[in-house]
Amino acid sequence: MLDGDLVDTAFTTIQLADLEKTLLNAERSTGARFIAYVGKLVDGRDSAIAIHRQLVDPKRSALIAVDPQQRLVEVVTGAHLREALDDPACRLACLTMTSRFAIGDIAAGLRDGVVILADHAREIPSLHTNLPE
Amino acid sequence: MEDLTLLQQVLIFGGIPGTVTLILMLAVLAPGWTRAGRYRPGEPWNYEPVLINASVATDVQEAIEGTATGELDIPGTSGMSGISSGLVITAEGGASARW
Repeated sequence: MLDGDLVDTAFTTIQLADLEKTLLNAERSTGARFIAYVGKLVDGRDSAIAIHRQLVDPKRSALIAVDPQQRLVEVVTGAHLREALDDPACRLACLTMTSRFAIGDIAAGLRDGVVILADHAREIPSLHTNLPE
Repeated sequence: MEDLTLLQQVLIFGGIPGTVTLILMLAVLAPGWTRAGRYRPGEPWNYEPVLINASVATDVQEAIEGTATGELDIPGTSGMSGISSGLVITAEGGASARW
């Protein structure tokens, strides 16, 4: 698809299932959507924001984007979620993840990062009764 | 007790410790051989991009391909890299880190 000789995926089925479970648990406890991306981020944070904006509900979504090639991790939180999950919490999650990434354990780093983000996120208030924007 | 021949001495004092060392080495190294495909820091990352836990009804694939080739032009992001030295305020929050 991209560079020709790309192999399927870097993660085992067990790692993927584990990650998905962690992301779903985070969604259940916070009401926000958590999505992980592992791949190229050519323009760094701009690329991560571009992917984030293409999600189903970007304002209530958190994207954790990792580019192992550039050794870069980006956490992007949507405008609504930002009130419940502030930037210092994201920085803490980044710090935790990079300590795992540095030894090559991408899957475990992502999992730890999601757990920290979910722990620090307050529950997003439901806006059903509010007027639409 | 009769004296040991040279061959017996070599087998007892060389062969047995050697065998034990070999078994220990195998026990330590063998798990690593089975995980040969595991990513190690500094190696090139030649895997397909993977998006975990995203709904399929999005244009994420387009964004992924766009970011991979650097040809993405999503309103609000295209001009941002040009003024990265200044203060850029986006609606999105978050954090970045390198390792």
